[in-house]
Amino acid sequence: MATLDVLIPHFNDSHGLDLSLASIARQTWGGSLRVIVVDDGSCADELAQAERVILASPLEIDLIKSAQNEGRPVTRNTLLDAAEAPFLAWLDAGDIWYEGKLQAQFHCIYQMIHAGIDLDSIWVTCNYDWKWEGRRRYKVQQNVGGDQLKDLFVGDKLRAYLWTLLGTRAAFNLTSRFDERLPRLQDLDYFISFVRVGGQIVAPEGTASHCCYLKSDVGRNASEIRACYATIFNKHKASLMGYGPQVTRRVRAKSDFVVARFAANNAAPILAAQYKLNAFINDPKYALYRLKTSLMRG
Amino acid sequence: MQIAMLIGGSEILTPSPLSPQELQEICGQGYTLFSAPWVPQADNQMYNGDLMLRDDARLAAAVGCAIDCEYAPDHHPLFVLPDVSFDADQVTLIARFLDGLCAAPSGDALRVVPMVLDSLHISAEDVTAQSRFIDALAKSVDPSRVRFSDTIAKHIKVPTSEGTETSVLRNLAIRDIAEILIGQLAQSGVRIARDDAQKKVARLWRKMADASMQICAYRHAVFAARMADMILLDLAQNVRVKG
Repeated sequence: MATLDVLIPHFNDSHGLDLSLASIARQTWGGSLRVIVVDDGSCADELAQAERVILASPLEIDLIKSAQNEGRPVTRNTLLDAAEAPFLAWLDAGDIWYEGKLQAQFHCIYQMIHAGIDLDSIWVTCNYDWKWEGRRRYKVQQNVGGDQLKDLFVGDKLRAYLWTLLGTRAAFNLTSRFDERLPRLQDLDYFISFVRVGGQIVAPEGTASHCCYLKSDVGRNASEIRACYATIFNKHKASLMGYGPQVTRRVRAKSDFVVARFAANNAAPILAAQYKLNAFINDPKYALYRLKTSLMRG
Repeated sequence: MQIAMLIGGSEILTPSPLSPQELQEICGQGYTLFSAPWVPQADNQMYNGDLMLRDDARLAAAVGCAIDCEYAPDHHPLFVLPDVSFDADQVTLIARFLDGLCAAPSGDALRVVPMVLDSLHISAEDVTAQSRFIDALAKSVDPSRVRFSDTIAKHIKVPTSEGTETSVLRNLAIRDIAEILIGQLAQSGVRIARDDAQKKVARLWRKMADASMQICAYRHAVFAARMADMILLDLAQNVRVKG
């Protein structure tokens, strides 16, 4: 059995899968790993191409095919069920790890053992680069030193991206499974649930980025994302309300801005304006701050 | 879980550390020098003595996890302890470390393959001490968790041709020059510790290598004499007499 299972959901993106697998093959970490790919009902051509990519890869890869498209949370739950290794890491087809990512995170794991911390209650995240199509990469620091639950809700200092994570299989089963009501943002719900049951997120020392998120909002339904935010806020209402009305308003306004961005990037400017107006109603001070920084950036 | 421990041989392995590749050539392709850059203050540790003698059970468990995670079943970590003093305290500390490795999540028993260097440059006393140390260690560990294999002696070939630079040859030369240097300084009424003399020669050797220069293999005495003169001159020039 391998030491690490890398879990990849795939849907109609064989080129992205190729990039992701190549980045795994370049890792400097010397342990044994297996990749599990769950294809979520891709079209025949894309599935055939993905199979060719898998065959050409030097990695040990298991492919599980779903007969129909069941959505990202179901696919991720299938991946969790298929995993057997003591350690798990996640990667989405299309995103890439830099070559020292696993090495840095395993070093962090050894440091945690040395510090006497229970490995089954931690996830190791890392800094990453964020790259919009056609723009330059910029670094995003994961700040794990604050109130992690609050920081996850707000989403400025600590962001919920599964493909940054390494942890034990037991740690990934500490929380409930991926919420199948959430076609989007199931990462956020999964992170919040983990921290709510006592999980702790840690990160390797240093400021280096260890992976890259190749970001695009195109084709993503803003209303669907808004509905997912509503489900998450409702599900974790008790925790969110515990931070008081000011933080709650900020969190809601921030989600409105995120949804507005999705709407704007998908040729829905009126919808985007509506969400921005909602953000202003929720938290006028924050909305004005965003407006000011936006104007300053030009 | 299996590890190899290369014990003793400081005459050959220090003061200038052998590279991981050179150690692999000596100990076999199935062994790689273990390094733990994630341990605080381990940056300048080329060998593993500091790691194994820390008396830190959680550190041993973390090292055990690192071995579990990063080594394949047919590839093993090599721990190098060139400077063990072969006393009872060291035996106790290293036995604790070996027992602690088994606290890794896999909980596998540990097989230890002791290794020593077979060379004319290692004294008979050291060979006897190494053997006693390994026996004492094997008796001190928890036998249900740690088993010792028979000791393997690794023969060291020392190249003799002029101009061949290997770490082994360099270490032997540094030690030879340092011994002569100690004698030369003593003739001038100056005492210097063996370690310090070796460090001075090693430092000078590195600087000469950077300048593409080498010390002739059969002129160590001449070089040591000049070096003793330089040390005394340097000291004299740096002494300021207040009037």
